[in-house]
Amino acid sequence: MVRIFSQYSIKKLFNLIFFLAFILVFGFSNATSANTLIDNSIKCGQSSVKLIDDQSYLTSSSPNFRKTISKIGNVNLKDYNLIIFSGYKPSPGYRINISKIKMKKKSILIYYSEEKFSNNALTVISYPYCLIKIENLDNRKIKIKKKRLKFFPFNIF
Amino acid sequence: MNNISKILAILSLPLLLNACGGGGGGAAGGAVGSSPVSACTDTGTAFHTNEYKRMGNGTTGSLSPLAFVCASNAYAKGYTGDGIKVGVIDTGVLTGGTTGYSNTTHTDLDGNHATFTSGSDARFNDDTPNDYNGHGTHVAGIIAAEKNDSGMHGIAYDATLYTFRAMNSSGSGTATHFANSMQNAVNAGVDIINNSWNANFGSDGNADTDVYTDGTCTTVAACRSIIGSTFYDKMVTAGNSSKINVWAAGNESKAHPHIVAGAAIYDSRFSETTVVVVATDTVGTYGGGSTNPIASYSNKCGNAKTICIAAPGTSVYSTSNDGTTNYETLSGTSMAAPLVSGGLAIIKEQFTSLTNAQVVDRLFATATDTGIYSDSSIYGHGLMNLSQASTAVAELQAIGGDINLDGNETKYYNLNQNNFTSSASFSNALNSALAGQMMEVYDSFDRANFTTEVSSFFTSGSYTSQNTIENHMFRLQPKTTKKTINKNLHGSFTVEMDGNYIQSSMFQSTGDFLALGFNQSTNSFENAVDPLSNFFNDNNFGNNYLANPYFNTGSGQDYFMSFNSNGSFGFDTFTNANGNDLGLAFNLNPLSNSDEGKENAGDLQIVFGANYEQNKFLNSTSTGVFATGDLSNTNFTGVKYKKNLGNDFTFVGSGFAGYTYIDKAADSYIDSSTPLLTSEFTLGLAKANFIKEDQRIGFFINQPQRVEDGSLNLRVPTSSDRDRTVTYSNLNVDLEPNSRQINFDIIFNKTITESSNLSANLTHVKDGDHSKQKDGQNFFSIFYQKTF
Repeated sequence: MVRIFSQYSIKKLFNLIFFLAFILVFGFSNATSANTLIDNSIKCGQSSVKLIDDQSYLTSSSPNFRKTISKIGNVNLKDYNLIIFSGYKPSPGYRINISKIKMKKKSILIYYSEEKFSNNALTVISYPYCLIKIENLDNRKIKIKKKRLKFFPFNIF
Repeated sequence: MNNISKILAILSLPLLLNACGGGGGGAAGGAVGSSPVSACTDTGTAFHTNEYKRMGNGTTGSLSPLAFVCASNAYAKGYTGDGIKVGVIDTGVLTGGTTGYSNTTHTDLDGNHATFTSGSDARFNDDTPNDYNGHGTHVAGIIAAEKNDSGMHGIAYDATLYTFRAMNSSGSGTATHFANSMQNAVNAGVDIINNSWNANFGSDGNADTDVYTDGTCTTVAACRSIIGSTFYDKMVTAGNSSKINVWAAGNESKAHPHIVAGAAIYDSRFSETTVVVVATDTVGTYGGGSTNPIASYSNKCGNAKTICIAAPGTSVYSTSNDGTTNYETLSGTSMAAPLVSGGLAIIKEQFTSLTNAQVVDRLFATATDTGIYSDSSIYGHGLMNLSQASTAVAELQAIGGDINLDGNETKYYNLNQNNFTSSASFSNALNSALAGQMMEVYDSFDRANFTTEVSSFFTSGSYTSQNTIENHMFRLQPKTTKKTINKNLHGSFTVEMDGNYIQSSMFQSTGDFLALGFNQSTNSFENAVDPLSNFFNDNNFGNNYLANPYFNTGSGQDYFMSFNSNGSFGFDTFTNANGNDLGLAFNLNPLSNSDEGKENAGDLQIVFGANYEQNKFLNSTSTGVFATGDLSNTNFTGVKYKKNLGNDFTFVGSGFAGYTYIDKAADSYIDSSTPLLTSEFTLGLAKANFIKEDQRIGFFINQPQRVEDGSLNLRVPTSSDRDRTVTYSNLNVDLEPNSRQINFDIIFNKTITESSNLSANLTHVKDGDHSKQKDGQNFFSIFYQKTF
């Protein structure tokens, strides 16, 4: 009997935490929207099988930037000055999304998430990437952070 | 100090011996079945072109996947996948558009691509499997891009490609698309189907990609349910048709391959024809490098290790769909699988006797499985090794005349058990007939068919091989043997000793009624004329001019027995030590009936006889598949003549001819023969008191035994089929040589004093060994002997 009561209490407590967390997440989500750059300055959802650069990002001042852009194809160099990667994936069925960009005085903090968007059957390594245009990029330090999936299936940033 | 040196010397001796012993193990790589196979060395340097090298990351360095699997070694043996059909189920292949094309437009593929088959685009139900993704075009190039001095070439650059499109531009397809593609590939009659994709379709037919051979399913029914019956049943169809399915293991860094690749381990209907491929990293991008270990992305062989193998899959440069002359570099087990598909095509081309399941077996058994590749949970059977695959992995054997490679009664002989040592009487003809002729032999591992030259089993007898200056000189030297003669009432016994060994011996009964000889003819005529040639020492130079050629094995252990009547006729018998030869001759002496003395005996002798040889004929010995029967027979006749011409001239002559009937042995490739007519003759003229007393001169002309007519038919295995049957071809060999050897000998002897002697000998050998191709031999020797 005691044992049943105890379990019930824990369940109530869990629901309470869940509710508070939901409010918290909802608030953060609105804040994130305010900080996200306009759509046409970010090009995500692409995956290239031709990229071999396993770095986390390349800026327009990087020696390999132009070379990497050329592998992607049909991209105007003037439209973007930053490309970010999340390493290699087992098939072209993966992409990355920018969830948030924090602009600070001397740095830029970019949060991204990974997603398996299709059950692509090809067994070729692919390299998801995002292209971004940010003003005064070279004057700031760039930090790339992968969004970690938390306890709840919501975006907590 | 000296003692220390001795001790060191003693210690170092075993070390040296050990080092020598290590050399005996140098057969590294020569593995048999479960035996370890060492890494191969890529030795086909003539094929190390820039095209060959560029498959490695598009550079001309040393990182080509082709080099890591030693493809050039197979090329050097002439095998490039020619005639083998390889299907590619993928995103299609580059064409000029969506419909209306019958072939790829990529200039490095079109020559090797078959006309698109009807419905080859299962994804969009048409006949043009155009590739808007690029994956399929890349995979096709790894298999069979042409060797045409541009770009790169595929591993099996003469194989025939068939494309079956199952996926759209984004790499997606349903169970129906893949099933139809698999069925189309089976219908098209391809031998090998490459699958550089993974998907399990379940009951709804939509692709999922997250189930592995990790025990999620362990029965046919359970795996069929996960993969989905629509596609699974086509894998069964392919298996029942003995099509080889090659699968990429997947790139999720898992411990086991994807379920669609590894499900065969639970289903015997296609387990023997399924190959799962994990990828290695030759360039170091994914944890690899020069040691070429498993790529960090690759799934491992895991539970599917019995049907799994490794191949390079990282930074593989191949054809691109970006343009008709474009190429690109991709990585993944998608790239490793087509390397193996092409490797299988090469093996299949080389060994026409192997079923598809046996081709797969050979691929596995010959993979490098030492060093890092010994971990079967990662690499399965190891790294593909085309050098070893194209080489005999066990004992090569000749088949004993049967047509069924796997028959219960089929006999096999190790190669060293098959020999034929021909008589010089026809070796020239045999050599000419066998030049360039090939036959099949079989690897005892799987009866894979190899070809070898028929002549490799044959050794030529030669009359002239001993014709050296040294032997010519030796001809004139005094005999080293010592002859002793004992006489009593019953007869005489002569023994010729060479040191402690009996060189020859002969017993002659009183009246010469019975004679017994060891290495000594008992024929009265031959013994009567022998002194005429006595100034020739016994040696191997030339022929034994005046003896019956059919009573001579050359073994050094010949036995003779003669019965002589009153001189008018007699019988000679002949045998050798082990009784393999049995001969009987009747001698008729029509001009020696007068009993005028022994010196006249046998002035004319006519001989009729027969000789029987066990497992040989005309002293040609043979074993194994070239053996002859128990009783080859020669019927011969001969004439011997000796005449004192006056003025110290003596003429001698002999001539023999015989018909030899070759006895056929069971399992022998000597299938039939016509009787062999042989001949031999000697003419001699000797003069004593030549110009001066104590001077002798002799002139001899001799033709060694020669086949004048006759042939034999060799029936040798020349091809074998995948139904495991052997086809034999007839090789008719006319045994008559293209020329006639004639020996010309002039010999001079002068007794200078009782203690000094001078001899000279001039010899010319025309067309040695009855061969027109051989230069004449000329010898001149002078020998002076003085005894002190």
